[in-house]
Parts: sequence; structure tokens; C-alpha cells
Amino acid sequence: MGKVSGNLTASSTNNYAKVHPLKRAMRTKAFPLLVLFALMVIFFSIFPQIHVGPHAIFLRARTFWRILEALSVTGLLTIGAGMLIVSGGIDLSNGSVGSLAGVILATGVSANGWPWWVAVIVAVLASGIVGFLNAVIINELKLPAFVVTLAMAAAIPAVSLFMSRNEIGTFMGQINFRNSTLEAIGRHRIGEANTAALVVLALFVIYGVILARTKFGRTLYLMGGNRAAARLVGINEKRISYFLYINCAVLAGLAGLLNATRVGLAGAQVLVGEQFTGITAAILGGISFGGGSGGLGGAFMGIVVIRTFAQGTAISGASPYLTAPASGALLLLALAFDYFNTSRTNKRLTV
Amino acid sequence: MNVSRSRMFLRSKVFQLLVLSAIVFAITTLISPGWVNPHNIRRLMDNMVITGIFLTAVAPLLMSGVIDFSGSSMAVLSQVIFVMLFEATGLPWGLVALIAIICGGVIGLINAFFVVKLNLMAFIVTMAMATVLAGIASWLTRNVITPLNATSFTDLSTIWVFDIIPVFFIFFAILIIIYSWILMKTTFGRSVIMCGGNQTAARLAGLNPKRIRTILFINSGMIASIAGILHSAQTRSANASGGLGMNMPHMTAFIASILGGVSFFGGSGALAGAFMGVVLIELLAYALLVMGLPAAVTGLLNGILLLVAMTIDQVAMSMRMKKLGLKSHGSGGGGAVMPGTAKT
Repeated sequence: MGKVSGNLTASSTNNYAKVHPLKRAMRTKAFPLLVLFALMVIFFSIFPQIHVGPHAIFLRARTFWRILEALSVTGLLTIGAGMLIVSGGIDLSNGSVGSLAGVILATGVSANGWPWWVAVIVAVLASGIVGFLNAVIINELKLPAFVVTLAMAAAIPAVSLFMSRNEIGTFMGQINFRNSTLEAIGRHRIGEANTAALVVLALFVIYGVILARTKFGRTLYLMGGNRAAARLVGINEKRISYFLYINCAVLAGLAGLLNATRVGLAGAQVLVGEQFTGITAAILGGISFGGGSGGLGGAFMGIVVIRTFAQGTAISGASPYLTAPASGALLLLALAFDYFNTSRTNKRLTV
Repeated sequence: MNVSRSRMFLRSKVFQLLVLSAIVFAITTLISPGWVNPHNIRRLMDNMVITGIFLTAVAPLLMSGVIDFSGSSMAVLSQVIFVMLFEATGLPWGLVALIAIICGGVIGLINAFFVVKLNLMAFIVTMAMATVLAGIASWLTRNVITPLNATSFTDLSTIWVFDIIPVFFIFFAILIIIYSWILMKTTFGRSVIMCGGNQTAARLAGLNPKRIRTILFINSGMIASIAGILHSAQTRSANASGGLGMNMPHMTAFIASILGGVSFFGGSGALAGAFMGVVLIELLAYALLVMGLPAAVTGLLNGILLLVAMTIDQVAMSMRMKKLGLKSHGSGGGGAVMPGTAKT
């Protein structure tokens, strides 16, 4: 379990202490993503103008608000997943949890006739319970988190499907619902910006600060780096693990609610698969499996890059069928780039 | 520690899963007595073939300590390539199938490049690859179901040996036997299991884990292609948006492997248990269908099955450890130790 990388980070911080802050910023994981983002902005500002016509404008405030809006659902998943992975855990079920929350909201409001806030509370509670279940199984039965949450990810859509029956008992899979209050909340705008997206942005900052600057955040890194050591220095790692799994599930539930309120549609599978985007963004931001490294700033840049690319290709008039494979390829490219970057850093540290 | 052969069998996963399958079978027969007929048995076996073939891709990779999440998407893509190429060129189906399988191998090689050469996490790389492959498949077909008119090939799926066993099932059984034999009896097979168990020891013993995993990734891509092609024969079409892609057969194979005792930390397991896992899962899925429950309930049961199986394992392990006077490995819960994070 002992990790050599612990030593490496310690010596590298000493090394960093002497370098210029700008250089230090350049060495973070977020920096290459920032460069990629800048390159993309330049490319998409020029290319659609030539390829599609003068009306295809990428470089304007509205595009960036759109990108922010598009990333807010995945962003919530990324925060939860990122915090968990830093501490050495993993949750593959949060896409399913989000879908479940959406279905609970939709059935609550449309079929059961609950007031909207009751439905929201029930949905969030249900998500929290799933997170709690994950935590209990992982911490008390000591089963590997990867398999436990994978099993959950397989099981939950079935529950959602059960809930989304229509009057004659057919399994719908998807439910449409209308609730003016919820719609107003989900689509509320301050100026051009979607309010919910701004809240997600604020959450990124809050969680990022907690992770990077507080004692609690440091604890997570220690837990991720070496769990046994964390226990030995008197950290209640079990309680933290419980908190993180519940936190991840509740954030996923909120993501599901946000998604459902925006489109007025909930389904057992709507967010299934999104958890991988969340995890990938976290990884791109330098949060590594096995824990102990990375931060939420990089993770945020990770999804910004993914969504900017999608928005850019859409404005360039690319076939929607091509967007998915292209963003997958972009991920692979970013991972490879990250690899070369890391190996360069390692070389510098060992010399 | 002289445990007789029969007792070892009673303790084995194969036996446990056999008992569970028998129980499922008995309950289903009790609830809907008429379900055992040739038609249902054939359908059930057809379902087993597609999931089961994935075992020969998923299980060896798991044993060697990595994972390939791109299996189902690869199967869908190769199905699309197979059908479209056949319909466009009219070449003999064997040749077209070969081309599709080689495509699978190439994709496997690309996965291996990222995972083995660049040392990236298999989990993330293959997930990204899955999006790429599924995306290409729906781009090629525009999500329209493409019919396959290769009667000489599709008719194979309607030939039954003794009027009950599909030809593809026999192909699948032979494949499983060959892979079992390779894994258990050959040097290569033993080294697969070895390099999953203890990387460093494997390297020091003169094995080359990188080469082994590269071979397994290529194998995984090719097997996925074969599964996709066989599925196109069963359905007489290529479908990028539903069926194979939605059912995620490689995921089922993954769950079956773990049920069957293939440790996902690598280093242990045999195909016989994984095979019984597929039998159990597919039997359960079909039983639910017979009883008129929606297919999605299978997911719920698979999830519960997986959790229960792992819990029983854990408890049995700690009891045996206690009996032997050893302390159970206190790795602590919540560790992200998972396939695809192993570093070469």
C-alpha cells in the first residue's frame, strides 16, 4: 500500500518553492488544458466563419454561457467523483442515481401530485440513501468500491423503470412532466447566464477551496495516498468515506434534478454514462485513481474543454453523429498529451 | 490440508452457481410450467452465445489485471462494418468477417498502445474508446437498422444440432474449451494469471507483462468483433442504436466473470466458473421474460447477485483465515483498487 509517490510529491513541493509563481502555475495539470482551451477558442473563432459563413459566430459571450450551462449537470457529477477519487474511492453509480432522482421528481410532480418542493426533497433524500448504502457496503462489508458501485449502477435503473410506470402499468422508461415553478428555476437566467449553472460554478469554487485549502481537504489527500497511515494518525477515515459517498450521491441527485427540470423529461437512463464523463474530467484534471493528487480546478477545465469542443463542432456545422466520436478521440488525445507532460515533469524531477 | 476432489468441487464456484441455476430453473418451472420447450431453450442458448463469447475477451484481461470497457461498442462497430461492407461489395461473407475481425484487432492494438505503452488507465482509455467506436457506428449507419442479406451466413443461426443446440452455441463451447485449456495448461496461460497476481514477481520471473497484455487487448478486440458478427447473423441486421449496444453484453460477461471467481484484482480464476456465471445470468434474464417481467429487472438482480456473491466470498475468506489463524487482509473498504489502474 505504501506509495513512493508520496516522497516524490514532498520533494517536488520543495522544488516548487523556489520557482516563479507563473512557472508553478504552468506546471499544474490545469495549464495544458487551458492551452488546449485557448487553441480551441482560436480555431473555432476562425474555422466556422470560413466553413459555414459569417453568421456562425463562436467568439461571443453567449457561447460561453451556453458552454457553462451545458457543463453544469456533468459538473455536479465531476465534483462528487473528484472528491471521492482524491480520497481513494470511486463511484460508478452516480449517473444512475441522477436518473433516479429525475424520475422521482417527475413521478412525484406528475403522477402523485406532490408540491414541487416535496418531490425535490424526496429525490435528494433518495439519492443520499443510495450513497449511504454504497458507503455501508464498501466500509462495513469491505467490498471493493469499483464492483459495489458498478452493481448499484446496474440495479438502480431497474428501480427507476419500476417507478416510471404509466396508469396501465406499462414501463415507460421516460416521463414527461410540466411544473411551471420547476421550469422557472431550471431555466432562470441572470442576464445571459443560467442561474443554476452559476450555482454549479460557485460549488466548484467552494469545493475546490475546501479541497485545496482546508484541513479537511488535506485529510482527503492523505487518505487517498495511504489509507492505513491516515487511520494511524488518528483520522476517522470511515466517517469521511461515508460523507464522501453520500456527498457524491446527493450531488448526482441534484444533477439529475437540474437535468429533469431543464428539459421537462426524466428517464431511467438519461444520465447513465455521464458518470464516465465526470470521472474522465476529473482524471484530465490530474486527479488520479489510487488517490492522493490533483484538484478540482483541473477537473473544471477538463469539462470546459469537453463542452467547448462539442459547442464548437456544433457551430462549425459538423454532423451531430460526428460529435460523439470526435470528443472521445479528443479525450484520448488529451490523455496522451497528459502522459507526455507528466513524463517530462518526472524526468526533470529525477535529474 | 488434504481436501478430497469431491469436497473441492463442492466448495467451487462452479458448484455454487450450478445450484443457484437449478433453483432459478425450478422456480421458473413452478411459476410457468410450460416454459421448457425447444423454442425457449434455443432462444436461451442464443442469448448465452453472445454474452458467453465475451468471456474469452473479458476474463483473461481481468486475470491479467486490466479491463476493456470498449467491448460492446467494438461489437456494434464490427457488426456495422461487416454488414455494410458485405452489402456494398458482395464479397464472400467469410472474407468480410475476416476484415471486420482484423479491424477489431487493430482497435485492440490501439487500446493496448494507450494502456500498455503510455501506461494510462485502462478504465478511462477504453471508456473513451467506447464512445469513439459507438459514435463511428452510428455515424456510418445514421442510426438506421441495416438488413443483412447473406443467407448462407444468417441461415447458420437457424441450424440446430439434435434440433435443439444452435450451431453458434457449439462454436462458443469450443471457444471456451480452447481458452480454458490455454489458460490452465499452457505457459502463456499461466503467465497471464501470474502477471495479474504479482506484477513485480512476474517481471522478475522473466515474463513480459506488457507483451501479454498487448496480446490480450488484441484478443479482446477480435473476440468482440466475432460476437458482433454472430449477433448480426441472429438478428439478420446491423443496429448501431439498440440491441447489442444497449444490452452491453461485455458488462454482463464482466459480472459473470466476477460471479465465477475471476478475481478482478487479477491473478486467479478459471473460465468454468465464469461460464456458469453466464448460464445463471442468462437463465435468470430469460426466466424473468417468461414470467412477464421487464428486461430491466435483470439489471437489478444482476446487481444484487454480484453484491451477495462478493459478500459471501468476503465472509468465507475471513472465516477461513480465522480458522488458519491468519489475520484477514485489512486493506480497508473503499479502496479504489480496481482493474485498469495497475501499472506495468
